Amino acid sequence: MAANTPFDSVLGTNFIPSESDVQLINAYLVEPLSKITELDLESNRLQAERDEIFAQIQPYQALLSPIRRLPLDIMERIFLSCLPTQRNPAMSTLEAPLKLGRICSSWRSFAYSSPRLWSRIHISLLHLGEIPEISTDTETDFEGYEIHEWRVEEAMVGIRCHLDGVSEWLTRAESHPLSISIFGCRYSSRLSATLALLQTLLPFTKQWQDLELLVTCDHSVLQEFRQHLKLLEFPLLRSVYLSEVLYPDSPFDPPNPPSPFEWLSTPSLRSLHALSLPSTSLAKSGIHWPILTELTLLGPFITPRDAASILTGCANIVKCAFEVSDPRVVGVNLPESIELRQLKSLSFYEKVGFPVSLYLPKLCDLSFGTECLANILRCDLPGTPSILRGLTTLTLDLFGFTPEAVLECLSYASSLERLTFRALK
Amino acid sequence: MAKVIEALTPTESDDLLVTAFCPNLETFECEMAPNFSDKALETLIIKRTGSRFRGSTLWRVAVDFTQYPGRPMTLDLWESLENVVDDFFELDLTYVTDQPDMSISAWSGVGTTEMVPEWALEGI
Repeated sequence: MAANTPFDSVLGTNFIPSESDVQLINAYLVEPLSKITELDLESNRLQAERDEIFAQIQPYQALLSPIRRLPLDIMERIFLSCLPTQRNPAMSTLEAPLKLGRICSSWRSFAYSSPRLWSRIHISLLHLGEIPEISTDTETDFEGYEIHEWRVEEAMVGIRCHLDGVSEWLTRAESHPLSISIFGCRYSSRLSATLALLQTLLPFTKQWQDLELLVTCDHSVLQEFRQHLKLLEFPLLRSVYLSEVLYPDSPFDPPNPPSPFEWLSTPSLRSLHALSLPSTSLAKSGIHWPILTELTLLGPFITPRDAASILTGCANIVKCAFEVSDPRVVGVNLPESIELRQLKSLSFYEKVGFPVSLYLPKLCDLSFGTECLANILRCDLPGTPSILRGLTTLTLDLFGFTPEAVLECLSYASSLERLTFRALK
Repeated sequence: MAKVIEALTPTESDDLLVTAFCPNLETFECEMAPNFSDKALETLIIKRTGSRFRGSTLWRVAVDFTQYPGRPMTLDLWESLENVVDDFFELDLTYVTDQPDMSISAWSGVGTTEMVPEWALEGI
């Protein structure tokens, strides 16, 4: 482009060119526009050449990727770090370990051959198909019965497929101790699925270490399960969390059935959390209470007598949460006092009277709530002031407490560092 | 609860502040029946965090006033305790709000902020 044109002085202004000016400007632009076209062509050629060379070197660069030469032990550590920490890994391809097997064949074969990746599992029964129940009308209708059978078979195919996956997962763990959590819904008709799942887990009982069972069973399923379990061993079973496994007092239950929890009498058990289980079944389960260090006993079916009986046996308990809630057997055969010499943390909720003096010389953390107005201030019980004196943490449910009662508690709690008023229910 | 707060509040003894109730208290949390005044809580905190107090210094107070329906805030404790709340003392208070928590802007619905001149967004 020419260095100087007659239009230099009007560039960047509001100058309006005439027809002749437009022709002149177009003439000035012919040469630079053709230069730009040439440069664009050259630029495109160079870009194409670059792309071609880059495509050739890219596979070689991929060969040099550091991840390919990562030592296997480091790789395993990384894979283990991919597992969820707050819960067991779910059987989902959206998270490790299954997701790790979807990256490439070498990662898959390495993941499948790393037993520690498969030693924890969360199984949701909600994923399993609904097993249709037969209606009374269908029972008398042959065609309807056949359709029902077909539907049951179809549902069972899905369930068996899922359970095969569970079995394969646990087999990959080889001989590693297992942590298993199972979640079902409270009001489900999946009892057959529950039983099928439990049967799938039976070959692995020697590896069970931590077990969480949040499912609903009835007596028939539990008794069938009990028949299987009583012949098996649980040498590694360390902690068990059971929630709403059993509804008590069904009119169809046999009178005085054997406890379905006899299998918990393994000598390795240290931690038991029982939520909404009838205390009577636990009390006669044969659990070795003296070896437990952690116990949770919460729910609406805990009688004072069973609670006292269980606590009396827990000589080495360190952390305990329990409530007395079932009013059917109140004040019968209760001991005057219970000694728990190792107990450091206690959460106690009293829905019905529990007039037992607790001797807890090492207690430093207490949560307490009561609905028994007559027993609100338990400072009159022998041992209570000494318990309060040793506390560093106190949580009180103020329901029904008078300020005077709270102050009397606090007057003893001279070592208290943390005070919380909170509803425990 | 007002009586409990009063009891936990240290009293003058010579030139010192003393209490017979929980002298080692470091954390106080109330999520139930907080039927005591903001002023009472302020006094408790000031006295338990002051140098004249013969006991452990409070380092955390958390009160959920929403658990006491109809109780409005009568004193801005964050403002009155601004000299107390620091890296070593945590104050966590929750009050019932009278109106829904929402901010109104003249430029609501305009779309991207690029359409609004920068000077117009100052102070928002």
